[in-house]
Amino acid sequence: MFFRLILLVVGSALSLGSRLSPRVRSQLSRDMIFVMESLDGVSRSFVVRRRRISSHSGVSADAVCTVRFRTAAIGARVFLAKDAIGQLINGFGSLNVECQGEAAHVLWFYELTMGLLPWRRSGTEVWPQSYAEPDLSHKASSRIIREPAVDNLDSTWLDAHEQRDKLVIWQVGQGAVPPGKMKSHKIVINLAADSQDN
Amino acid sequence: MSEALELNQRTRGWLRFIWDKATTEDDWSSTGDPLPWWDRTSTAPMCAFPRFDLSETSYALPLMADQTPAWREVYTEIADQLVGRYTTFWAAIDWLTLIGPDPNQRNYPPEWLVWMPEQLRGHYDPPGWTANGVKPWGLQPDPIAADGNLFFRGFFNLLLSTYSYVSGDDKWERPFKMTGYNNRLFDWTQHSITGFLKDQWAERPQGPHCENTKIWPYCLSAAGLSLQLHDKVFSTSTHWVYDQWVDYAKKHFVKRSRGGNIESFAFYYDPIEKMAYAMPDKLAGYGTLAPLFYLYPQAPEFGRELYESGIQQLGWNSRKDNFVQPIDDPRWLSLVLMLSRELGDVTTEKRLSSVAEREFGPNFFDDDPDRFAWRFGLEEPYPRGQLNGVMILSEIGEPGAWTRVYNGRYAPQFHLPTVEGVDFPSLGISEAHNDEAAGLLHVTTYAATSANSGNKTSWRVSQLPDPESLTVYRNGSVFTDWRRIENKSIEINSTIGTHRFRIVWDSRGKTDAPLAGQESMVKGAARSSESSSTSAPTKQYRLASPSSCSCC
Repeated sequence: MFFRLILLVVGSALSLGSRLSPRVRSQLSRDMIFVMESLDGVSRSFVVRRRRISSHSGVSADAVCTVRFRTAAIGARVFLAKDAIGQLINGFGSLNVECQGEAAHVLWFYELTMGLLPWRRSGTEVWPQSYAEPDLSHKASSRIIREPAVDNLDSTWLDAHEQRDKLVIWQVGQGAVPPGKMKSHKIVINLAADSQDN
Repeated sequence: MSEALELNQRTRGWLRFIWDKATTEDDWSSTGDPLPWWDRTSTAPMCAFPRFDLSETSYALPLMADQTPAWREVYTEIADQLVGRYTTFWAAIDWLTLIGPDPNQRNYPPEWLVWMPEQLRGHYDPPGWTANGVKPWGLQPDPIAADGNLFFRGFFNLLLSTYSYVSGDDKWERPFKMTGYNNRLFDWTQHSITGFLKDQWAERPQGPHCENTKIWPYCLSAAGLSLQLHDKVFSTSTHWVYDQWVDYAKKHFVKRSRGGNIESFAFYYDPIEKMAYAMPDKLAGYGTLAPLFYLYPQAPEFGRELYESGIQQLGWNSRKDNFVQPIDDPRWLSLVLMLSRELGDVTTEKRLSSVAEREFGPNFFDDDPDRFAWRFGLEEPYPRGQLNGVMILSEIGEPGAWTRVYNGRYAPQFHLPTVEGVDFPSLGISEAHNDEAAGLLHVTTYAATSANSGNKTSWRVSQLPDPESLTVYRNGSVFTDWRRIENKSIEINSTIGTHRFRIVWDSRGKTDAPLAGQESMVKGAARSSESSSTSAPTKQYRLASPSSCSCC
């Protein structure tokens, strides 16, 4: 029950956040469905469409990622833990939690949610001896050619434009799906048999 | 140098494939396209550029050279081809085309956003976007002489030092052209790059930037390793800048608990946004382990502390728990497998090795017994160069061999009898080392192209002190099909296949029994060996055509 309530609150908060917060919207780059559920009957689908989040109870067959807790109690405990990600990893190992899809989506979702809580965000850190602007007195600086700042690749360098289009970082930025994922990647692998062999 | 041993079957198969890649002509200029077997996909967005394949392909070369110190010509040729490509447009394509702030900041998928601090996601350049041209740095046309782009010159310097280490040759110590923005060309030498790195780092103890504006321990450690190897090979003293940075890193990049335990080692710090990025909780182990591949040979004590912390966080050393790998990228396991072996962490090595054997698809190419690579469950036409370049390191030499390349005493054997003129890739050399005290050269040949087995071939041994008085044994018997061809060289006629030669080049060696059928030690022997062949054209890549040159 408690886990159901947590998921309902999270869904409402993300829905509101996606309407009011540019910070949240800017992270909703892809239409997708993310599901959290427990084997004892609690489930919620979080639907991202056109940079808005909505949620509804139940699962979705076309979810990009489904996190499944063995019980709702485990789900609630993990989600509210201060070291939730650590507990999730432990849960994967102990098979109390299962992830269908990429675990990176879980991290993204969790941090997106926690980002709604200002006290959970990490602050800035000023480290000493930072080099945050060119220092022309440096010995190495004499070798650096510095030209005026520009915002775009030279529009007359057509070859370079054509080649940039082939880069993964550019293609994905234009909306492509990141290529080359392992189809057989397993988040959890049982090595018990190998241990016995050893 | 590590103890001379023999290249195992997997290493020979990988060598065969990287020879193909390195020596087959392709066009890395701004009008060309590297052949698709150069990996520009792995570990996106940070490493999805083909120059990372150049770097990672090179890492096996010094290890192989230490295994066969009396035969280096193939490693030298491969290294030379890698360095040549590194001077091109495609090597520096990120710095030359990812100009200004990223217009796609809001479009990256969740699995990439997690590589940035949460507050900045969606309005921040992702790792990999070099942002040449942004304020306050301005447009910097030379990819080497830049305020940022440390990773470009650091990895380049490591590759150059590797070339020197395996070849003993000064080719890249002489001026060459580096392709810059709008195909402008800039003059550099190996030593001027080293000097620039050192001077810049000396004035910026926090560490120079990679992308504008992110400071990565991973890349700084590669750059530091390049300085260390340069110092070792050329007896210079540039590496102190890395030692200075390690002191800084311990104070700032490392976060410790109240009890003093390492909680995280930042992936990067942005001095303009004033934010460090590390993954949360146990995932911080990834950041802690990431730079160790380069850091450990330079700072072993600190490296071991980071290793133990990272392994503990990820739980990869647990004997009883399931193995959990949250990030879908084989690079991490490959790096840690190599490290665990290097550090003698047998438990972790066994676990990771089990996973790799089971999940990574080690494979002699389906119809080709001569080439070997891991496929990583990817249905792609070519094996990933970046990932394989790391995985193969766990197959070469003994534990500690990687570290010894960079921090051991430099004892090249270029002055000793040397095997040359081998018809590779028809014939390969799996063992080639001198026993200087006994005056012996051990050489073992194999068929690098199985289809050519049994064909006649010949190869030379140069730098023999007295070719008139030597004795040659083959497979344990005195062998006479050889002739003196120059003052200090002989030519040996043989066939393509496995033969063990012992060349007694000093009278001390003649007192020893011949090498009758004795097996060589093969460390990290191939765990599977299946065995066609294609020929590799040996042409050159094409460099950029100059449109202007700002430096001369």
